[in-house]
Order: sequence, then C-alpha cells, then structure tokens
Amino acid sequence: MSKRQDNKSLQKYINGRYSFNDFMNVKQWLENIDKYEDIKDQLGLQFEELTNQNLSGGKELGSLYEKIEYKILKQERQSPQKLSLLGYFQKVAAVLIIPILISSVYFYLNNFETPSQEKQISWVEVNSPDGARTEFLLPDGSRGWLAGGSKIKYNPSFIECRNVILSGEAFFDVEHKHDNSEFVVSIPDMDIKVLGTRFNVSAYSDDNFSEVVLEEGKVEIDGKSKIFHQILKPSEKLNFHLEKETVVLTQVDTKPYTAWKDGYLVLNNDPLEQAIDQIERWYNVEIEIDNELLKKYRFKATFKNEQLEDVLEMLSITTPIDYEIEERRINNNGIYMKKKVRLRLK
Amino acid sequence: MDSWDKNIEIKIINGLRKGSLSSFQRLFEIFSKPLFQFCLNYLKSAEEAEDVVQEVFLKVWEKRETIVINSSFKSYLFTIALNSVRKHFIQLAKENQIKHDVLIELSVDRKKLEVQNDYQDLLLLLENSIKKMPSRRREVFLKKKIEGKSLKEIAKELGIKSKTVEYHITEAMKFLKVEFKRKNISGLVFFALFIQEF
Repeated sequence: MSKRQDNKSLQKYINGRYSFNDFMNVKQWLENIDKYEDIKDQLGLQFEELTNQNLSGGKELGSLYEKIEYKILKQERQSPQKLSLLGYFQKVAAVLIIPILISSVYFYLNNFETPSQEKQISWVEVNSPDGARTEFLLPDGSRGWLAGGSKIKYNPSFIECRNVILSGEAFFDVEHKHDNSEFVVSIPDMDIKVLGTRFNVSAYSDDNFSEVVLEEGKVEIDGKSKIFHQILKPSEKLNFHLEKETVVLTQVDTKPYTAWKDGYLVLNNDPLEQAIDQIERWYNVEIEIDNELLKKYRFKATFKNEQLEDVLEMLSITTPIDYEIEERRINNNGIYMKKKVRLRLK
Repeated sequence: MDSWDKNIEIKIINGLRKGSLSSFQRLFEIFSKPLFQFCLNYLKSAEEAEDVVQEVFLKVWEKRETIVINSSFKSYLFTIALNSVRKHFIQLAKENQIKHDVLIELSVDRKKLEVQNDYQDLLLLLENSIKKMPSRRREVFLKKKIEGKSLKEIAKELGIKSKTVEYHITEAMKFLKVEFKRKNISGLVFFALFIQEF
C-alpha cells in the first residue's frame, strides 16, 4: 500500500471515522511496529504534537496521580529496609524548645509499635502543634524552625535526595554541600530549590497565599499549579496568590518575616483579619471579630515572651478595641476546646 | 509548557533519579494529559487510556535510577508509552475481531461493512445494545459470541437446557437487529444492510 494511503488510514482511525479495513491496517502496523519504521515515526510525531498543545481543558487526571503515588508508596514500604531503626533515630533529632512543646516524630504508613526489619520506613514527619515553635535538625545537618500548626515530612533516603515537604510555616538554614546537591522544599504550589541559604516559607492551608522570603544566598522557585520560574535574591519576597494565581515579587526587610523563630510575635502593619491568624497560631486560641470595619484595622507591633492577655491589653490601649476571653470549655467528648477570644469595636 | 526548557528538564530528571516524588509529580503534571490523549486516540476507551498512563508512569518511577535520556525525556516517555499502548491495543483488537463477526452476521453486505467509515459507531452501537439485554440473555450471548463457547458448554455452565441457550441467542440476535434498525434512521447507508430477516 502507498504511503499516502497509509497515512489516510491512520488519520481516519485517530479521528474515529474509519472502516473495518482501516482498523485492520492499524492493527497490522501496531502488531509489527518494528517492520513499519515510517508508521512508528508518524506516531512519534503525533505524540510530540500533543505535548506541544495546550490540553488544559481535557480530562482531569489528578486522582489518577494520587492512585499512582499510593501504589509507589506501598511498593517502597514493602521493599527491603535499608536503615536500622536505631541508626535511624540517631539521624533524626527534633529539638524541643520553650515553652514545653509536644513535638511528634512519627512514621506513618508503618506501624510504630511493631517495627519490622523487612519494612522500610516511608516518611518522617516533624510536627509543631499550635502555639509552639519547634527547632529541627535534618540528617544532612541543615536546620530550621517550624512555626505553630506546621509540619515537615521527608523520606529516609533524604541524604541522597534532599526533599522536604512543608505545610505551614518554616525557617530553613540549609547546609551547603560540596557536590552542589540541591535542597528542595515542596509546598502545594511551588518547589523551592536552594544550594545553601537562609529563608522563610509560609504556606498555611488556611491562608490564600504562599510566601517565600530570602534572608541570605539564592533560591530558585518553580511553580506547580501555575507554571513559573523565579530566582530570588536576598531581601526579596515572593508571594503567590492561590486564587488569582498571581506571582508578586517585592523588596522587603526580612526581619519581620523571620523574627518568629527567635520568639518575637511581629504584627507588621497587616490588617487585623490577617494579624489574628498569626495570633491564633501563636497562642493556640480562636479569635472572633464581630465587626467588618475592625477587620481592616492595621497594626504594627512586636511582642517578645508576652502573655495573650498582655497582647490584647496592648491592642485595646492603642486602638478602639474591646476584648473578652471566654473560659475554656470542655466539649461532649471531655476534651478541652481552644480558648476563645472575642474582639469588638469600642 | 511555556517555561519548559532543557535546563528545567535536566533538573527535574536529576530529581527523579534521586527519588524525588515532587519531580515525579511535576513530570506527571506536564505529560499525563498529552499521553492520555495519545492513548485514547488508539485505544478508544478512557479506562484503557488511564490504565496505560498509570502503567507508563509506574515504569518511569521503577526505572528512575537507571534512566538514560538520549535526546529528551519526551522521546524516552514515548518509547515506554508505545509499548504499553501496543500491548493494550492488541488485546482490545482481539475482542473487537469477535465483535466484527457479530456485525457481519447482522449485515447483508460484508464488502460494504468493511469499507464504510463508521466502524467505530457500529462497535459502540453493538456494545450499548448488548448492555440493554436482560442479564441472563446477555450472559448467554457474551459466552457464545465473545468467548466462543458452544451451546452445550454454556448449558452445562449455567445449568440450563441447550434449547434454552439457543432460544436466548436467537432472541438476542433479533433484539440486536431491531436496535440497529432503530438507530439508523439518520439515513446512514447501512440501514439497508440490516433489513434482511434473520
């Protein structure tokens, strides 16, 4: 058969308007693809073209990815264990700091009580509960701080592939490796790649933005939900707005963004509705504002080792705010609920 | 894929080699849709296409440490994909071949059936019509026409008389004939093919 006719059959088949004979041709080629080099090239071209097209409208494959990832994690778990549990613990040092914090390092996808020699530990997680700050040390010597209500996780092959998955906020002080190997912090919308540097990442799931502030060195940021590539220089802040999908780069004073790790609560001229998110995480309380106007008030203040009451007192002196702290209540299950604070306009 | 260039690709592949799931996810995000479309073009079934996408990416992960990229990741992916698509296509083609025998049985002009450009429609119509049959009849029909079992075998398997099996098959073919007739009021040529009595 002539080449032109071949092409016609193939094209008809792909478009869905084909005859039985076209189908038989395609069958013949695919069964013996090595005999039909030109058809193979055609298929390669078709694939190439598809990858150059914008198929954004097509089928959503996110759930398929989750299925694949699940299979991978399951397989990895069943593959032979490379590290002994004891040696492992020595590599994971999570240091607890003031006030007494509960930090949990646990392994999931694996049963902690019955560590088995055959199973490989899949992930390590470091948690910092609400109202706490946790210092962590990673196996490669990099260190950092986790803000309240945040966690990081990484897998045991961390030394070979330095990849940390963060949710919430953390400050990283990354150890530079002589082989220039990368250290990657992943958050849902971005990958932040570094060589050796100090920077802050904020990606709380209840905020509508993710933010990276660089103190020292150089980082590269690759967008995931929206594709972008940005190199950050010291004293630059990158803000990615989750809904608008905008990337904004600004020059900032990095101190207010990183001071939290040294125990300072910094309200940096943000509207109150944003500041209360910070206060809520800092003191592990729930704050309600019953006035829309009040939400727009801006505050600039720095607190160090101050009680919640002192902070609220301070706010009420400088602005027309009244506050009320409710007694902690016990819910139906006998568990203490978070302390609740109400803010009103005077 | 605006910002896709060689440097980014090298970085992602290096990440993949070291076992970074986030690099792997990045590759999935970039290539899963075109790959899915490519599979769909040849397999004509979204389920099968998804299976292939899964197979291909699992393979990419499995081979991550020894991955050798000659020209580009794209062509590496294509090589794996082509193998997987072929495997699935050949399996599906076997099933379709048997369906073709049923279509021939339903038609009067074999020659015409084989050159008309509505083969995919016919397959779809056949599948949908089979789905509409009462469950016992469908079971008998599939065993006979798709699995190629004999009347006796089916009778034994289902614990019914051979006569009953035969009855189900006759009724099933009659039903298909009516369905094909009903669906072809749009004036397609093959309307004429199916009016011959069974």
